[in-house]
Amino acid sequence: MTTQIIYPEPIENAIASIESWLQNWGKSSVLSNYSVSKRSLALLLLQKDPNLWQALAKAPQQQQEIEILLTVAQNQLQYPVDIAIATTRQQQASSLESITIEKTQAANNSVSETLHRLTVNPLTGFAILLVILYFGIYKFVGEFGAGELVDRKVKKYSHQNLDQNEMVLLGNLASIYLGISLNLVGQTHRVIRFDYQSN
Amino acid sequence: MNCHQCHKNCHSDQHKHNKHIWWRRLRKQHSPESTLILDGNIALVGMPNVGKSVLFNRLTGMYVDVSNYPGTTVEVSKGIAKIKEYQIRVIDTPGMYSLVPISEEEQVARNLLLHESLDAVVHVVDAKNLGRMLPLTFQLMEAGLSVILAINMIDEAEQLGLKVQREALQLELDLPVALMSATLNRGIRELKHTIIKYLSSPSANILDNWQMAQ
Repeated sequence: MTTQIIYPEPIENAIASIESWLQNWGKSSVLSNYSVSKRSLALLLLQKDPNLWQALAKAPQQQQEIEILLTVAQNQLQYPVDIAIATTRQQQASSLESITIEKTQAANNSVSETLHRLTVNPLTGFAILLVILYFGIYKFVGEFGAGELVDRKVKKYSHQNLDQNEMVLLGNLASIYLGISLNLVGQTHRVIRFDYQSN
Repeated sequence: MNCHQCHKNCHSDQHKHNKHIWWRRLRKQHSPESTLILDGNIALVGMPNVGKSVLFNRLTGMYVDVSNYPGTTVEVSKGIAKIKEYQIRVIDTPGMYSLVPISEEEQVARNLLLHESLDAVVHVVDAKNLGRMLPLTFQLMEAGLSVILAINMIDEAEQLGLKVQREALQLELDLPVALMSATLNRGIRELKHTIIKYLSSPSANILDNWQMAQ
């Protein structure tokens, strides 16, 4: 491959014309303050770059000359000039990719990869979500945390005469149990999320 | 002042990766003041979500917002990378697909490339989608910029069974190619080495210099 992409002939001709046009205008061109190559400027003009054309609008004569060159190139092409340029680049990129990327056996499916596939698939993903909601939230947090554990504490202290402060403390204890339960669920979620991100 | 504009290395995240930072600081204190300063300007460019900002963090030690979705960087961040005795200004740019801008962020990155005086442009690409990224490399080369191709996420590509033939690619493109994984801190040292070689002898054959550095 060459270091320079060769575009279809009408585009190459237009590039050459614009390059020589830029050369002729020199410092008096409205585009002289751009520090990139003339070829690149020519291609940007052919792609109707809004900024360059805005700058050209300040000099109607220069704008008209470039418009003529663009129209000449466009008339010789089946597709719009910007599409033809993009297609040429993409073809070159794809061909370069095909010769520089070697496709080998993909790494063995790890546990995380399998989990990732299962969780992103709508069918299995929603089923897993429902299982987590039922067992993780309803059963574990609801029944076990808020039900079983809190009941146990309440039963333990139910025969005692508790004052207001002790009742508050008991309430807080129940909150702590719930917090621990929720935290456990949260940690599980974080592990799954990390696993997903690492993929 | 925003966190990303601060030149102090105060973010805790970097300490994880700079195991010997206390030793570096000690060495820095004892090193002679008159270090060779290379007024190099490099810009990190590439499509959105390819890891430019992670690489910026790795090169400069400064923190800029990083996320797992495209379009996080909406303004230009500048920092200093200290590589050996050199100090290089690194510019992190918003993601761009082409030199012809569509969004305002692309416009910012494009203006920087077209108007700033840059010694090198590090084009960061995703190894998994090389074919989709290379058209921008071509455009940067056409613009006459000195391009270093940094192929990021090489670990993810390997997982998918994709192996990038670095030598073949750099021969085809005639520019230095570095393989790396910025999040894993893999290949960063080689990239730094490439940047230094590139900047210290701009008139010489860059590719030869790069190969000698290997």
